[in-house]
Amino acid sequence: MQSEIRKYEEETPSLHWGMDPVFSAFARLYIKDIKEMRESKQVPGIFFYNGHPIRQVDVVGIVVQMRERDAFYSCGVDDSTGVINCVCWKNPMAAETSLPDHPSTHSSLTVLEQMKKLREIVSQKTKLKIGDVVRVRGHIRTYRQQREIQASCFYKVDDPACDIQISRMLELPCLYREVYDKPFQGPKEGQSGLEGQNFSINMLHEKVKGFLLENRIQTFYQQELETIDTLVSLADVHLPSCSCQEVKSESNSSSKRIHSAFEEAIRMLQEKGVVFQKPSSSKDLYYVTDYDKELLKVTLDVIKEDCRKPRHAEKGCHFLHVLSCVRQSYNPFLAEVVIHRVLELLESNSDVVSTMEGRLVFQVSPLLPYKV
Amino acid sequence: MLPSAAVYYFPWEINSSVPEGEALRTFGRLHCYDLARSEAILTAQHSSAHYHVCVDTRFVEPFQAQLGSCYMVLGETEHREGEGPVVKARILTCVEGMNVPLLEQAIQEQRKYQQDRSRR
Repeated sequence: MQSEIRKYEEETPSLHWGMDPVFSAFARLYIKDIKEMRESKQVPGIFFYNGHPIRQVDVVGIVVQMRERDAFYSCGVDDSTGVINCVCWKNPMAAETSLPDHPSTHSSLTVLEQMKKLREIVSQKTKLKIGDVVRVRGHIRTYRQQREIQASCFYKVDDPACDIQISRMLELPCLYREVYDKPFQGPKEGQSGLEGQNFSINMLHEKVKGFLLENRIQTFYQQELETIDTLVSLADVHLPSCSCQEVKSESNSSSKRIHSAFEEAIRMLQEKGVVFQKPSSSKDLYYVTDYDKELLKVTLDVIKEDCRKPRHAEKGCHFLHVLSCVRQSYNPFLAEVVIHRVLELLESNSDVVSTMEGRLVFQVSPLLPYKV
Repeated sequence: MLPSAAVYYFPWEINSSVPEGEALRTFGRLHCYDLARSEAILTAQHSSAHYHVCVDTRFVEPFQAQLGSCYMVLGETEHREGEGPVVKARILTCVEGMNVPLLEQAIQEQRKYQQDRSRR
């Protein structure tokens, strides 16, 4: 019973949804299930069938109710397990645009004829009435406390002998047994031990990087990152759940593991030159390379200065020279990757241009005013 | 307000035990059609016995009655005094050429799956 409740409350973190193939597919569910499945707490409009995140659905059924508006049909579709309202937008293109009256050549005449035929077929297939068999694909939304399908695509199914409906009825139980009823094996269960952990830390490091850059953070302490819920949920996600007896020690060791996960993620960011430390400041303080104005200015000044010298004016100055100058005037322990990242940033800002392959030589961009 | 889902019934399951007002869909050959009374009879055969389903066609008229053809009916049951249940049709479609044994199998499969799931 308890595990039942847990299963119900647990929700795969949204970052992992894309790993479930059902998420990017049009799920062919019974209408009953579409109306009963639980909506995501993280992202409204996403639903969970047996742990699978559902974004879009595909239904086939009989139109049992119909309201036509100028721009759309609102029809009740019955698949014998449930009835759901579908909002099917009419195609404004087909109605409004008119074809030219006087075709100039013979070939354009046949093209026009074919266009007309196509348009007729489209309008036949999208004109709905009660009793028609219809196929609707779209996403689910809640309107006046009722779930409905916002059709991204719909058409009348030509099914005079019920072949399509029968084959779908035969297919769905298999599809459910093979796919939807099997739980989604996320990274937390699917991978064990080191592999799973590495995977999660990789994710965490990407997410931390995104977080720092999006929020234009200049400096941070590790503890500060550990207060961001979206990041912590990721750091904690690969941990296997333990029994209830050891709640206290569990929460203790869990926070330890979160801590070490963040440590590892920050180490990876340092290796890539995204963040760095300064010997002069606290050993727990990290600087974000992209937003360290001082470092960018020092580097740019070094290049500017060097390019004034006649022998460098044409070819630019060497990377190693830039590196040693920055180390001298700014921070003797600065990693090479950090300078690489700074130079890439300066180049993408058009402050400098690389003149030879391998980004070895830089010079101040001649076209643009220097900006720091 | 949406109507309730019309679940599949086999023609031989439509008898006095079906609840009043139950939304259902079933099928059978059109045996006769009485325009004056707005009543049609669908027939089906199952394990060497003949069954018939009485259909009230008031809501689906006018329709072209092709006697002997296979029809699918979707509607609600109504119990009338002195008669068996009548299906008040909302939708009546000619499905001549339908593979009836395959439909029967599909209905069985769907039911079996739903039963298996409710047992879990």
